[in-house]
Amino acid sequence: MKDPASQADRLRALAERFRAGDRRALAQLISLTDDGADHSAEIRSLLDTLAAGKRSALKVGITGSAGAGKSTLAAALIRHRRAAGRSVALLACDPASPITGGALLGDRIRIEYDPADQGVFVRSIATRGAAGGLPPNADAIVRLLEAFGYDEVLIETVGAGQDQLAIRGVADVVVLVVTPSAGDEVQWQKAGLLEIADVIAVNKSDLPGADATAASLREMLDISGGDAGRQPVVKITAATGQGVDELWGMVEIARRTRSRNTP
Amino acid sequence: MTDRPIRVVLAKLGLDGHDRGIRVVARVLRDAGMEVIYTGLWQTARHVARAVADEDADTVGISLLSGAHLTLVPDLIDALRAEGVGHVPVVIGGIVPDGDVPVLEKMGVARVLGPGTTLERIVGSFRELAAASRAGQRR
Ligand SMILES: Nc1nc2c(ncn2[C@@H]2O[C@H](COP(=O)(O)OP(=O)(O)O)[C@@H](O)[C@H]2O)c(=O)[nH]1
Ligand SMILES: [Mg+2]
Repeated sequence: MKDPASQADRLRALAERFRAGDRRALAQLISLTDDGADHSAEIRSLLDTLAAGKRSALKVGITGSAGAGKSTLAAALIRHRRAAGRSVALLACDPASPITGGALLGDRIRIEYDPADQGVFVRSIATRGAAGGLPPNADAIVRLLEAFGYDEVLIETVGAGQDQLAIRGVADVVVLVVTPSAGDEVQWQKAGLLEIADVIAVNKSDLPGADATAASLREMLDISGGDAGRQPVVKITAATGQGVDELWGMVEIARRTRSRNTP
Repeated sequence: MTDRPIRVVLAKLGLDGHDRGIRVVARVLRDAGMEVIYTGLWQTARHVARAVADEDADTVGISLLSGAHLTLVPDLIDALRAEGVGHVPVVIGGIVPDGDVPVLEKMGVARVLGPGTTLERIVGSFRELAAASRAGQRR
């Protein structure tokens, strides 16, 4: 149906608008990248040209169970980063039905920003048939956001619990969001979640039990942390922004540590 | 190759706080294989337009129960144009007096689906409009 020549023309036109800073071109290129169709090779080579000479963004993964407050934290981080004068994009992933392919993408309910603000970009993505809590082309979509010029890119995973390891390959720093709940620490450890996280945020600290959860996490991580030292644990209330500044400080420290350790 | 799923932004415009209807529509469209981006209550025209643009939606469905459709809809149409997505078909659901339907259509609304609309017709409407909108974009 689509003849290859017109498809190539269309990509070229989109790339030109993208380079000129047209947000709609970014939105459309993400759709083409997300459809997993036959032109993904063209898109990847296009990406290489678009990304050439661009500064890389700080990519922060936000993972944790459904309802932990990932979207609410993303919204708080967007406010925090905009207040610091940084531009920020959010890729919010939700699961698609394996049977119909349909999806309810509801993360935007939690995310408020000024519609006139050009320094924010929010995109909802369905993780169609993909394991790992991310869509198959997540890395390419993140590179598009980076090449468009956002200083920081946040990636909210689906939060299915066990399958969060893919985020490690895409993000520079992974934040695990947990909530106060006695006894779950052992489950998080068994699921391997604590290992992939660089920073652990105990969200909903306005509810009882946050101190106990943070303390037992620290204790558990002290035992398994080894020479590198354990990951930092911070109490936050994403709903009010409490603790988010401290969390961001830890994210920046983790980024520096990681870039020292991985050449 | 299979085309990627239809993307629909669903939103409530204005001040009424009833979202039961739009949540039903969201589930029905999802079960029909669409990607439904639900933005929640109390949206302004500019918020909705920004979501339609950045989410690269094929259609946008608006639920209106407040009776303020004759002022909210022109605002939305203007906001969509300002975001460069004036071509995206707008579906209005909710309570609209019969006499206002042609008025809304003249403003640029693609379809008005009243309270009695069957779920099949809702799904069919979004399918048709999305297909037409994609075909128009490709040209
Ligand atoms: N009490 C409290 N509730 C919160 C906080 N952050 C998020 N929530 C609530 O937790 C629920 C799930 O939040 P959401 O951000 O959608 O979680 P996600 O599924 O991980 O993205 C919502 O009802 C939020 O209002 C918080 O700091 N304190
Ligand atoms: Mg979420």
